[in-house]
Amino acid sequence: MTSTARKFNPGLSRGLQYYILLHYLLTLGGSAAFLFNEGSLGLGLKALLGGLVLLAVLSLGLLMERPAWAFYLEGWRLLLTVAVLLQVLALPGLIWAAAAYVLISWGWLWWLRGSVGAAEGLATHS
Amino acid sequence: MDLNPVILSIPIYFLLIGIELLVQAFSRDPIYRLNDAVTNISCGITQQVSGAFLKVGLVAVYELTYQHLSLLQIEPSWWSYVLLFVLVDFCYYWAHRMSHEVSLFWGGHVVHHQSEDYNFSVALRQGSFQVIWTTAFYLPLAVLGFDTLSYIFISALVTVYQFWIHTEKIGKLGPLEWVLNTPSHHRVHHGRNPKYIDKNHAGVFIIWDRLFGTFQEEEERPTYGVTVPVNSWNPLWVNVQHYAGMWQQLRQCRSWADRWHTLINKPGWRPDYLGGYMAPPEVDQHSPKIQPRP
Repeated sequence: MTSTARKFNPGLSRGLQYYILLHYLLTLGGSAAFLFNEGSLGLGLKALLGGLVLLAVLSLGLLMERPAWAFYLEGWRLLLTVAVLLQVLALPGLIWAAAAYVLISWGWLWWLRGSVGAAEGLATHS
Repeated sequence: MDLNPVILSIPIYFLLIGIELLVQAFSRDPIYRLNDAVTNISCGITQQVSGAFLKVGLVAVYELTYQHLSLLQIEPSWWSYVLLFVLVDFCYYWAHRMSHEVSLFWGGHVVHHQSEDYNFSVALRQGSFQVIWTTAFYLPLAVLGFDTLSYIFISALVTVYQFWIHTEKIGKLGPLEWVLNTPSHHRVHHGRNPKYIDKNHAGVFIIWDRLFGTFQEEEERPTYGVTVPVNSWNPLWVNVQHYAGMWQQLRQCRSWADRWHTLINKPGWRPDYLGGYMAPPEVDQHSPKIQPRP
């Protein structure tokens, strides 16, 4: 019996790749901040922020698999993350910047909605 | 502030990933795919976040063993650290080997092998449940008398060492190949070609594989991944996929003996009435690696 050397690689549009890359870099920053400081957090806050990190990697991973509902999950994740961070960090001065971030990201997602749930593109390489 | 060397080394990990990306940019040699690399790093994040909760209990197990069962009290010194480094690496070999040869343990470790690429980001791809199964392999060190802080520090160093061996961009390293685990040896470990499966389990010193009969030289270029591909970029699903399959098999087993064997035998073991052992298939090197348009 033989198996193929082919790799799993459903295609992603260029726009969706940029969306995922940008939001993943933000997630990496947040994750690093969490991991460097989790020792000083209480259990409840640690669970809340750890849960946000896990939700982020889950949502971005699902966007790459492109089920249609991943688009809605990502929209809700953005809202939840910003709401929790504003509350936890107690930074009311950032509320307009946070709102702008969510709205721009939502708009970007809406523009990309054809890429999510639709199969397209070729794997770029082996 | 976390003083764990694994966490403190995060900037170095990303620096090395950046260097590999630069190599890719200049050589046009494909090393990274966005989806695969993102999933690798996401698995690392998932493991570290879940570990933030698990480690308290697991460290407590080591500390309790040290407090109540240690035969000696070994004072930290340069020689004790050197000895501990070698012993941790020895324990790592067996923990790692059993993680491949016992299906229940493989479910925690399989995550690290699911990537079909081989680059520095694969080093970060770790299973969240692995530590639950491997902790027991290090408890003899507590019984010997190595204190908890020394153990945590040295085992983190053994982990950090293993980052740089996850690359295709470093060839063979001459005499070092005799003693140390190198990129060449570890590429073999990640291959799913039948001759490469369950070989080269070493962490730092490859001598353990040479001693215990699991050494394999790198010959043809390995095809990376696992024999049952996970086909998912979901970092949570990849952690439980093996256990989901195991649960299905447990439900189909007709006796408790078969259920027990499902848990402790090699991955791929099945009772005869469910098809028997699934041997690793040969890899068709001539099959196209680029997925056709879906």
